[in-house]
Amino acid sequence: MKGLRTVVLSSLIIAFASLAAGAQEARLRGSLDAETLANVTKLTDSARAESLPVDPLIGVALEGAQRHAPGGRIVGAVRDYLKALRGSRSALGNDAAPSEIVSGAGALLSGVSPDALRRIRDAATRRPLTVSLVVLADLIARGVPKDTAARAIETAARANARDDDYSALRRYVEQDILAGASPAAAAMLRVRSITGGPP
Amino acid sequence: MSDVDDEELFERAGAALRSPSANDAAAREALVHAIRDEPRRSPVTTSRKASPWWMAFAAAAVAFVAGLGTGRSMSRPPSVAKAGSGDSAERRVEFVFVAPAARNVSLVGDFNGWDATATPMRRTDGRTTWSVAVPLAAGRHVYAFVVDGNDWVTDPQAPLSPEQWFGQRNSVVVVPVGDRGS
Amino acid sequence: MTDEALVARAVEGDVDAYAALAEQYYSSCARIARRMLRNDADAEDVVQETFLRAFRAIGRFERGREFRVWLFTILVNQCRTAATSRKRRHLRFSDDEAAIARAADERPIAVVEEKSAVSIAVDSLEPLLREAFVLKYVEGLDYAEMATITGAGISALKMRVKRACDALRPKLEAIYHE
Repeated sequence: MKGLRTVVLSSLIIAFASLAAGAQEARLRGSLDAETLANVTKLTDSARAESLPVDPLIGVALEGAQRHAPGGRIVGAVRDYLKALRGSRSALGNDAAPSEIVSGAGALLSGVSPDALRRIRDAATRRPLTVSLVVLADLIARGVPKDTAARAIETAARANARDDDYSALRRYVEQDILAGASPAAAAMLRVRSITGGPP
Repeated sequence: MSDVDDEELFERAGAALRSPSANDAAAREALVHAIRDEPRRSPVTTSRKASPWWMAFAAAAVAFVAGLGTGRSMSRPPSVAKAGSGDSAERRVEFVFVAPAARNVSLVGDFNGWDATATPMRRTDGRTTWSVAVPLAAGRHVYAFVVDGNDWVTDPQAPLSPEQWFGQRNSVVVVPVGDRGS
Repeated sequence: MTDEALVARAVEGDVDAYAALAEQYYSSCARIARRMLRNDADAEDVVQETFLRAFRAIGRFERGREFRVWLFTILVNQCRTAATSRKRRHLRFSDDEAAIARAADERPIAVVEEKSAVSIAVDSLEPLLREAFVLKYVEGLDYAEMATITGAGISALKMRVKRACDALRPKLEAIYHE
């Protein structure tokens, strides 16, 4: 009985996902001029063929459309994002979850090296990476130098930090920076208080 | 010397250092003047100038606390409802945004095609706060708030997105799988 | 009005509420800064800067966090920055010894003199040990709070306090004739 229920639910989920994907693509058709649409579709088709997440690419195209960006810029953004998704999966491994691949792409786009991403993946062993990589990108966006931020996240991962720990780290570093701390110092000190690290 | 005596020795030293200093009064007064001279975060009068509309939240917020004082946070990151029974792939996520001076606010993101008409937010909490709850699939989403049809702004309570494809960052929310709410 | 209520109003932009908090915490901030910088004028500048920075940042202060701990975190960072970047007079070791010896000879020790003598003893500690001693014994913080403020781990802090106490013990015994 449980097996049947799982099958039914999975079918519903797949059906829903297709509906949603269909809806997104219908939106694309309604928002982009023909040439931009054709170029974007080539890129999303490549992503699909490579089993990379397609939704974020469609999302970027739609964002560009809503922000009234020129077609060329939209295509450029989708192309760069696809490249980052590929790089992320290469660094994180084929068994990485779609949201991990997307967060990893964000980290690469922030300037984190593929090596650093691999080190974080290795440090995290079995814990999911999505939140840690989102926090990594946020720290860099707030001014923490990318190597310092990557090291901080790697250290936290090695100390078995959970999603809540990363979220707290992000909030505290943000407050410290607002209060005048240097971003690098804020990140290093706050990660030490999670890991109970050396003085 | 015993440990207790030891501790007492240091406590006594600490107490000695706590005794008040004569000099503080003038410095305190100077500090209070400096605080009052700081540029206000919340303009007392509404300005014709294009000052960021979100700065007005502080003034209205005082009224909010006086009137309601419910002890819940005025502004908070998106909160994910606990998973209901069954294996739903989606979770209900509530977005909250403080903008008392705004005429309308909507939520845009990768889940609604960034369409500013798709998900209008509702005023709550004495008219300073806007909120809406949407079902989101598990995983990472990017979003922003659109104020008065034109201003795209990030959520001050959420992580920033690394991508700035079109010159501006967005905010990130991660919807967990399974039973955990946030 | 309780701290929590003052903080809540300060977060919303109530300048009077923030000024009241500043009055309340001024002394403890000044004490910490004086011990960390060993110079009253520098300490006053740093304390002022701390309260102004906290004021600018208070809109994002998270409810549930303890205000004092947050404030002291800013203060300790400011002290550390000031200590490395400002020129200041260094107390020579021999001055300390002479001062302690003088203090030990006097009888009975007046409060002001006791405080001076103890200050000199504490001021002779290395910065991190001094910081830990002051936070624990002068401000009465617990190790968890100290960890948040300094960014150091709890066991590291306990070690620093122990080393501070070991260094201070003979000097304090001399001051208190024990």
